[in-house]
Amino acid sequence: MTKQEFLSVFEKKLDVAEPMRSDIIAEITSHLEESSDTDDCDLGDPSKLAQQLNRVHIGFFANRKRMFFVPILAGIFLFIVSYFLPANMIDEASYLPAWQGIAFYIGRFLAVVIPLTLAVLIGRTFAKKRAIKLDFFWILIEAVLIITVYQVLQNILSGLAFQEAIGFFEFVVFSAIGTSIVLGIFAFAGLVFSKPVDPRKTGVIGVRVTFELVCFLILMVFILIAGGLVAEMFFAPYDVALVRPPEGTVIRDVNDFFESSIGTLIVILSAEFLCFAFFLRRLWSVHREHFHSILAWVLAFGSSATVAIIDLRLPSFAITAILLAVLGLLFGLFKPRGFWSWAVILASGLPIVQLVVSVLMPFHLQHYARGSLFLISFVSILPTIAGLLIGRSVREMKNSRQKVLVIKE
Amino acid sequence: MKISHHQTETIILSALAIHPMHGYALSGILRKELPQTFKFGVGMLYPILHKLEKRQLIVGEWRDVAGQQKKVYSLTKKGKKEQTELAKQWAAFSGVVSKFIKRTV
Repeated sequence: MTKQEFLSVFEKKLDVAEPMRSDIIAEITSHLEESSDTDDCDLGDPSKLAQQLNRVHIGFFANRKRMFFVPILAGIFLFIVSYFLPANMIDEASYLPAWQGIAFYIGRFLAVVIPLTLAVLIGRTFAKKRAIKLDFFWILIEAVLIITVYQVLQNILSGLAFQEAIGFFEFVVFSAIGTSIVLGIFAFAGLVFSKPVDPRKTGVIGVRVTFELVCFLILMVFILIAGGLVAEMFFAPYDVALVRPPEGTVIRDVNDFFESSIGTLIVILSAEFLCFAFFLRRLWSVHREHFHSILAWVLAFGSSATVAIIDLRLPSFAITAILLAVLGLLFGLFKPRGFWSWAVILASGLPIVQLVVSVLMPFHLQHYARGSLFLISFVSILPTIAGLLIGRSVREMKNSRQKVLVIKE
Repeated sequence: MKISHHQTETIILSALAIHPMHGYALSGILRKELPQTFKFGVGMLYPILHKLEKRQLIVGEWRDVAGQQKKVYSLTKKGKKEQTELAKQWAAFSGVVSKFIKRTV
C-alpha cells in the first residue's frame, strides 16, 4: 500500500470532527512524509489506526454498530419488562378493537425507539464535534431515564384508571401533561444539540443533506407520530368506546373535538409549525449565506409530505401523480442542479407518510387500506422524474436561447 | 512477546521525560531501543499519544522542526508526577521479579 492509498483509507475511516480531524491527519501525514520509502506505511492497517483514534476521541459509540444496542434495549424493555407492569397484566385486546391493540403496541415501541435513536445520533454528533464523552453519555442516560419514568408513570396511571382509583378525566390530563413534557424535552434536545456542519468548511451544503436537516426531518416524523398518538389516545379516549360520557359535558366536548380531524391536525400542525419556525430561525442565524439552498431542501420534503397527506383524502393516485409532476417541474425549472437528489426527496414523502399512517393511524387510510398500495407509493418517483426532466429541459432551452442572444449581440 | 498498552504508556512517558519529541522521532527511538523480541506496532503509538494527551499527562504543540511543522509532545506537570510514580512502581516490581528468577536459575 502506498502512502497516498494509506492516507485516503485513513481519512475515509476517521470519524473525528474538526478541528481535531485536521490535526490528526496533519500529524499522520507528517509521519508518513518523514518515513523512508522502504518502511512506508509502518503504521500498519489504516482502518485499524482510524478506529483506534475514533475510540479515543468519540468513545463507546465510535463503532456505529453499537448504536443498535439502544433500540434493542428499548425493545426488550417494552416487550419483556413492561409486560410485567400492573397495567399490562390486563388483557388489552379484550376491550380494545383489534387494530388499536396492535397499533397501540407498535406505537409505543416506535415512540420509544425513535426518540432514543435520535438521542443517540444527536449525542454522537455532539460528542464528535466537541470531543466530550461525558456530555454524550449524559444525554443518553437522560433520554433513557425520561423514557423509563414516562413508561412507569404511564403504566401506574393506566393501572389506577383501570382500577377506577382515579377518574378518566384525571387520567387524560396527567397523561397529556406527561407526554407533552417528554415531547418538549426531545424537541428541545433536537433543536439545541443538532449543531450544523459548517458550510464554509465543506462547501457542499446544496449537494448533500446535512445532518442537521436529517435530524429535523426525523423530529418532524416523530412529532407526526407522537402528535397523532397524543391526540388520538389521550385527548380522545372515548374514540372507539362503546359507552361515552353524556353530551354537553366538558370531557365529551374535548373528546369530540380531538376525535375529529381538525382537533388531531391542530395538535400535530402546531408542534410541527413551532419546530419548523425554530429550525428556520436557527438556519438563518447560522447559515445566512446558504439559507436559500437549505430552504430548498426543507421545502422539497415539506411539499412532498404535504402532497402525501393530501393524497390520503384523494380517491385516485392520478391527482397525486400530477401534483408530484408539478413539484418536479418547479424544482427542475428553478433548481436544475442535483437532479437525482430532488427526485429522491420529492418522491420520499409518499412512502414515509404511508408507512407512518398505516402503522399508527390505519383508520385514516380509507382508500389505501386495500391492497399493497404502500409498495405502489414507491412508484411516485416516476411522475416526479418526468416533471423534473420537463422542468430541466425548459430551463436548458431558456439558457441556450439567452446564450444565442448574447452571441448575436 | 507482546507489550501491553499500560507498559507502552510507561515507556512513552519515560521517553518523553528525557526530552520532548514528535511521533516519528518517538517511534524511531522505540524501534531502536526495544529488542526485536518485543512486538511493538508503530500504529499503536498515535492512539496512545492521543489518549495520554486527553488524560492531560502530555501536551502536543505544533512546532517548527528542521523546517517542517511537527506535533511535539512533552510531559505536563501531572505527567511528570505520573511518570515518577510509574518508574518507582516498575523498579520495585522488576526488582522482585528478578529476585525470584535468580533463585530459580
